[in-house]
Amino acid sequence: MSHDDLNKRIARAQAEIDARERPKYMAAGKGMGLGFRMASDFAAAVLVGVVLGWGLDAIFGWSPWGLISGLMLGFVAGVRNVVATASKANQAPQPGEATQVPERGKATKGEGDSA
Amino acid sequence: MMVSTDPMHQFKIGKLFDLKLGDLDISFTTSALWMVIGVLLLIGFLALATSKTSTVPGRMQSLAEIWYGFIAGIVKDVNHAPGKPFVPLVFSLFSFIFIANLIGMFPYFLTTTSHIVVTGFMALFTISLVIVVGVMKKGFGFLKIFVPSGVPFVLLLIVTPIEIISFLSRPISLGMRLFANMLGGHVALKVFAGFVPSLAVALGGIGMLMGGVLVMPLIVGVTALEFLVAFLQAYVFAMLTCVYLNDALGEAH
Amino acid sequence: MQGLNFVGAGLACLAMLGAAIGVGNIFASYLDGAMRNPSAAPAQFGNLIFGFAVTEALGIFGFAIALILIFAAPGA
Repeated sequence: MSHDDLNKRIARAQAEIDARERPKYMAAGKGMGLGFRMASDFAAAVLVGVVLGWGLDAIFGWSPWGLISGLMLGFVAGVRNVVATASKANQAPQPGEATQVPERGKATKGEGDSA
Repeated sequence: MMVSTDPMHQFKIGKLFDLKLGDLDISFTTSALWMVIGVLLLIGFLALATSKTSTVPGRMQSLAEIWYGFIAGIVKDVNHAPGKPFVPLVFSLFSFIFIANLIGMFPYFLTTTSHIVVTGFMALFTISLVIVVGVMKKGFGFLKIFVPSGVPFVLLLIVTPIEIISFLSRPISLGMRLFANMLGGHVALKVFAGFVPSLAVALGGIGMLMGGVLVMPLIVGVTALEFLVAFLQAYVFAMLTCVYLNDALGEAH
Repeated sequence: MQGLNFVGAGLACLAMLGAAIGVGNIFASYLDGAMRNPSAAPAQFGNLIFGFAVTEALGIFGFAIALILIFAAPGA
């Protein structure tokens, strides 16, 4: 009974701390991680498209056309990856965005200086 | 002197003793040694931290709790309730990568995550797990992630290959990113450090002074950045594992 | 005269230089505008991605030529 109550109180306190602390130290790291993610997702999709296209070329002998179409499809897949990641990241901080934007810029700058 | 300024020399793997399994060469290498050391460090630390648990945690226990809570928080944020069985897996992946990256920050220690065999295997393992879990949970319906709903049939001919390429690109991007970041960071560190002896050789005393005053703060800064990257890459790997697991666990999107 | 296709491939990769400058420009301009008028920024997100895709596509064309020269050279 009282154990349950304690758990609830811990959860509430944790949520409060999260809400207060997280944006401060996560902003810089999250942005950098997102950047790494988008760049490598894009490059990897292009790479996979090229390898698949080249493999089709080698198997069916379509010489340059498999490679070219594979590259195009890979490019589109890469853009799709980037769009998916970016729109998901854009959606996340939407509530309370107006108050967060200037604060976040400051936090990012401070983190960068200390790094 | 010449060997030590070669930026790629630090990634050489040597054999400690030979082992053969049939025709396979499974010799115990320095890379394996550092991985074993990392795992032993992890187990030792966590065993020590949780040996004397109390309601009011001590220093070691708090660190272990924050560490575990961080990963459990990521899994909870991304996967919600169905992700609960995967917390230990994500925790192990994050801890292994993080400790390997940190070990790599010490001079003369080998960075095991700067070899694409290691990172690529971890990425392949993650994606295989996603496929296995997806097929176990949804059976044949797992293939639906390649066929987005509400798209006309003609467009599907284009969209499905794109989705397949996008899915296949995941292990590559996952493994390549960790590998490239660790390799690139350490090479950059070594190249900057190599400026000091080459300046000293080229310009004598002035070069040494310039090396000390100009290059040294740069190396300190890059080292600090590398510590950030070491954490960040482990975090990104853990988070992407959760995001990809969502395909197998979560609702269709 | 063997191996000149590799030189050509290297030269074709110069296209990525232009793409890099262009993509940097696009994101810089987007951030510039978004800082001035944050409320209008989400509406322009589609345009941002469109500009990114078109710019990057031009760089990818150079990459395509490099790949063709290496893997599927017509003369080789």
